[in-house]
Amino acid sequence: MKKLVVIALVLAVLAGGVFAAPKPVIGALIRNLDEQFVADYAANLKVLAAKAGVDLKLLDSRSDQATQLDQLNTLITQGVKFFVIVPNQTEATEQMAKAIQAVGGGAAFSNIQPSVAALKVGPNFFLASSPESVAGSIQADIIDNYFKKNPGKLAAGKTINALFLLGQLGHPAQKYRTEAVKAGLVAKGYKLNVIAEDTANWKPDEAQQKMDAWIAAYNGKFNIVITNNDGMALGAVESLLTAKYTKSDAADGTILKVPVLGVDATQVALKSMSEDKLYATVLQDSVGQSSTAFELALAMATGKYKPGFKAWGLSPETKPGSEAPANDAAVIGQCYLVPFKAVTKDNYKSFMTK
Amino acid sequence: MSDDSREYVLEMVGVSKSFPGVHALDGVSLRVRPGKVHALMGENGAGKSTLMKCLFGIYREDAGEITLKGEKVKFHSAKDALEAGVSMIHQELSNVPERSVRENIWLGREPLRRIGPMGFLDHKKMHEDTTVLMKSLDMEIDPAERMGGLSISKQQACEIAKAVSYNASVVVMDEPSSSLTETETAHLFKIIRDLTSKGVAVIYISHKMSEIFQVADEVSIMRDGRMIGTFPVADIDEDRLIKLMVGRDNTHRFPPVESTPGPIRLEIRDLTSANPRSFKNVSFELRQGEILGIGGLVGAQRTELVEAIFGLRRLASGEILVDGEKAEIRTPRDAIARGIAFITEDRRGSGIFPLLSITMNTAIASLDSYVSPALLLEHKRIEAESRKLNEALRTKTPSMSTLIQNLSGGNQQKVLVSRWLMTLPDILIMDEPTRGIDVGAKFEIYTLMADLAKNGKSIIMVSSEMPELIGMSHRVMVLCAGRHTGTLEKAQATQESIMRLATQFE
Amino acid sequence: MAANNAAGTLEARKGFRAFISKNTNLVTFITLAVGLGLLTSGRSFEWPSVRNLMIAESVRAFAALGVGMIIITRGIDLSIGYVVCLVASVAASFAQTPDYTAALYPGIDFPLWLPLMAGVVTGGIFGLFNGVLIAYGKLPAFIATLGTMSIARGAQLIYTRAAVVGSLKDSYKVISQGSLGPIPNLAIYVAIACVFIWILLRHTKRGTNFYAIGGNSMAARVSGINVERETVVVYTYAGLLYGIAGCLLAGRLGLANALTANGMELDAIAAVTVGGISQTGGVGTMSGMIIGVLTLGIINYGMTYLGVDSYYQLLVKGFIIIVAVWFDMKKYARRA
Repeated sequence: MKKLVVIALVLAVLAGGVFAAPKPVIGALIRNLDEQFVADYAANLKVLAAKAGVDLKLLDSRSDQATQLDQLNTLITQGVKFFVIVPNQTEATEQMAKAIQAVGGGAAFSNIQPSVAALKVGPNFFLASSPESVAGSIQADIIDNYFKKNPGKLAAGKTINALFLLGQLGHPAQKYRTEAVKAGLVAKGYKLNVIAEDTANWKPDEAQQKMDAWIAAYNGKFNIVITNNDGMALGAVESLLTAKYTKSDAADGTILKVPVLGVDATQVALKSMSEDKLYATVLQDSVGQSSTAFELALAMATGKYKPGFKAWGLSPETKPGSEAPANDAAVIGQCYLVPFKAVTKDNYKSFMTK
Repeated sequence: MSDDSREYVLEMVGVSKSFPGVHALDGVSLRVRPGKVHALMGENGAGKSTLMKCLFGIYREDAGEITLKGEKVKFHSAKDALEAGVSMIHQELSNVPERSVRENIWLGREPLRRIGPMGFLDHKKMHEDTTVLMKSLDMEIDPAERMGGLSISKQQACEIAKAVSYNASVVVMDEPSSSLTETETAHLFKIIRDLTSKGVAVIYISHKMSEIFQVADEVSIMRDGRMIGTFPVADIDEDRLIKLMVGRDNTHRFPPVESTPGPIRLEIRDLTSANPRSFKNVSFELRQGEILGIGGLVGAQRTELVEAIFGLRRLASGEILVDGEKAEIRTPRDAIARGIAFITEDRRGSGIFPLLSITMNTAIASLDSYVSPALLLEHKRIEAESRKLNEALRTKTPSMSTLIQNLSGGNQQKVLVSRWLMTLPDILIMDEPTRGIDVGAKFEIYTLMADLAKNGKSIIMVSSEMPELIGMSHRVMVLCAGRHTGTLEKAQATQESIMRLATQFE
Repeated sequence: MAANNAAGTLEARKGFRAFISKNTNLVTFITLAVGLGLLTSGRSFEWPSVRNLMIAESVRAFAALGVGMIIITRGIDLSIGYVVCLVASVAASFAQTPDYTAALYPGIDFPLWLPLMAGVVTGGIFGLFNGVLIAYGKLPAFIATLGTMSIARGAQLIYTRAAVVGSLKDSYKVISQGSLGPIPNLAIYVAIACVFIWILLRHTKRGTNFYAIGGNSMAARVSGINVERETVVVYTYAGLLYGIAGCLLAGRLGLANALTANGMELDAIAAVTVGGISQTGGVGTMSGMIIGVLTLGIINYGMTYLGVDSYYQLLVKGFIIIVAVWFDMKKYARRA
């Protein structure tokens, strides 16, 4: 009996803050708040919702697509029609779009791109994102620049001996970022020699452990460390510093003997760059993506959306590009591409808050 | 240690306790004198354990009061009781086998050496204190020894030492001799006398009559949650004691065994255990309708032998013949298929399924015979059959769906016998069939055995109680340290002749 | 008369008390359901909500039935999440549309029974493997299934090359996503499985053996039960149920990847524990398992419905599990 009372109390307390309000309602289905980018994205959504007087129902699926489907169903039951979605997988977007279309709603997808089929479900479904592979391509550009400036760092035969720290295996960001940076380097005429690659599950501590082992095993045999996110990049930096894998000057932009690259441009990463530790990162613009998606959802909820609508100052694409779904002429008007930005020594200060 | 001017060191007056549906204790009073051994007797379920649990604060009594050394007390835990000078030696060992003797004795109150604000274990003091303690009790146990490495009797001795080390004025011993040999029991009595000479009162709970007359000064008898009376041991004899315990005359402790052994059912030839320290070259035969007793001291490998016959232990060599046919018995399943049943001595460890009903506990070994053509269990037939068996054995229970853990030891034993009767066995192996069972229930089990033999079943009974071996067996086979030292016909079997064979060490 | 009435009421009250203490899990569930109904002004009782709950909990129900039986034998299985993940991936790989260029077997249109068969067999093999390790290899269940968990995860990544196995055929997806009238198919499958498990546990010798092994494995052995074989069987049965869970999950999501079903073992173990399947073994019923699943489901659903922050959801869930196990331990604490 006590069990009942305890559980009922907990639920009652938690439910205390819930009451209905006649405000526009937007559902936000968020993949996983443990990821820095997604957390920043969600934080900005809350700020925007507060400013616009929107009732934002934000739910975290903790990387589980089944949970996200359940959450979508629950919100639909509650009468929510318009959504901002950070999906778990591209392949799941069509099913979610169909469920929303069935109640006459709409959604904007960010971070992981929806499939073409998902956008074809109806004109009320949008891409508000930056394709993952672009991050990898930008990493390749930064690396290309680095070796052009420091050709002496290359191994014989224009060879890059790289260590790769990967995100959670099978995660789209892990897969597309890695593939794109590898393809980009090969396309630029380098011989890419992967000394070692392994997952560190996005985590700094796992990355540090992997790196400790690699420094012991491959001392002097690698000339770059490429990672899928800033967290792991900073773990690798920490490991290199501990192992005194450093040099006296930072003429090439880092005091480490080899450059380390991340993605995300988190504030800690920028701080590390200001100390000449992390070499470079890529900005996946959480504010840009969330603002674009939010403005689209709000416009639909308030009936202000018209084809060609400008969200966060961005216009939809007009010409099909190379990557899905923005490569299909039928849905190109529903694709808002938020640019990625290379963050290097030259511009990192402009991204630092404060 | 105690105040000699006071007549009683511990007084429990008018203690009552009821559980849903049961009056476990009904106004029970117990008065214990300092420096004396006070035996507490009664059938299982008479309320002895409940009374002691009230003393130790494990149960809270509904009414009554407890006075220790003239002061009213109410313990909330065993720790309170220990600190007030009341300690208990449990029937089941409650030590930490992987730690040393000294660590076990000082568990929870280890001497500390202070260095600044930090306290460190003072191993040296622990060792020395233990040595002194052991010496004062005339025990030869190395304080550094691992507890689990000691024999059961030495572990028991350590429990006693631990109890004494609390400077207890009252020590409760719950069946302390149940796993001890005769010599060890004698030593135990010496320790008890040492304690009483120092003024310590001992409450001694036991089923063994002979021990009571050897060691106790006074005896209190309980029955059905009531105190029947307290008597000086000098004023009472065994028959009277039994009569008071069971509430009826019990001049015949054993029923007549009327069966005459028929043809040989089971033949054991040169059986040798795979364990070199266990039994060797044991041969015997068992006839239809015969009760064969197996006697011996602790360590004679009796249980090991019968467990091997039932397929629970590996054999190095030897043959088992059932009805003249060689039987390959590797697992209990093989034995059951040959019509052999085994009633374990370790009721709790390998007998009962505490959380299953009486019906299921009865049926579990014979479910194969109660599966319908659709492969479903025939619950009705199972229920009916186990009810029939348990009623025949007079198992006392509120209902057949009661969990077996809620029954007394004797009734649990009856359920286990029902279980094996349900398998329709020809040969029953009963290992200590009456251990931990009260006197009244013992007689019922004996009657049951006699009936089974009369109906042509063959029984092997392993027992540590000489009167039981002599009273119930057609023949008594005796083992000593794993060797078969002789078999006695009923007429020759006496306590002395059995003991002679049991102590025939090489 | 008055005295009689008072006695009658007392009896009735006692009966009610006994019912509650015997069916704590059911009473908890009903209380939560009513509580949620009040908080949502009745909307949680409307059919779409009930339907959502059934769909959301169905896959977990299969996992819970499997691990529930294992826990009855006093075992444990940590490999559930990744085995279901592997099964879902295997099943999905044989159900991709043939014109999907990124399919694992592009251009081949497999018959519909193949993914189901492959998935269930995969689950069964992993269960069998667990069972053999535990019964004959004498590994502690905790360690054996921890190892299997990693093997399943590795196998999944190798098999799928860490990619999403998506674009499943509609004919496959409808197995999970379809409905029979208003009732979702998934709920029907769960109901069928429940009937089977109920018969197994309640009406067969095998089920009784499971309880016996969990209650006292030594006594079970002495009673002639082949403890090793039954242990292998219970893990295999559980594996087959995980297999079904994986196939249905793939159909429900329309895809499978390395993240599918991650952490399902905890949800399933928690659910059956809340449902009164004691960790001390030998206790539990099919209905308890399902009530446990629904209880956790309604908590999940309720918190999502009420918009409780996901971090608080974890907190509340953990708290409820601990309370449930605490009461369970008190209930079944062996007598001193």
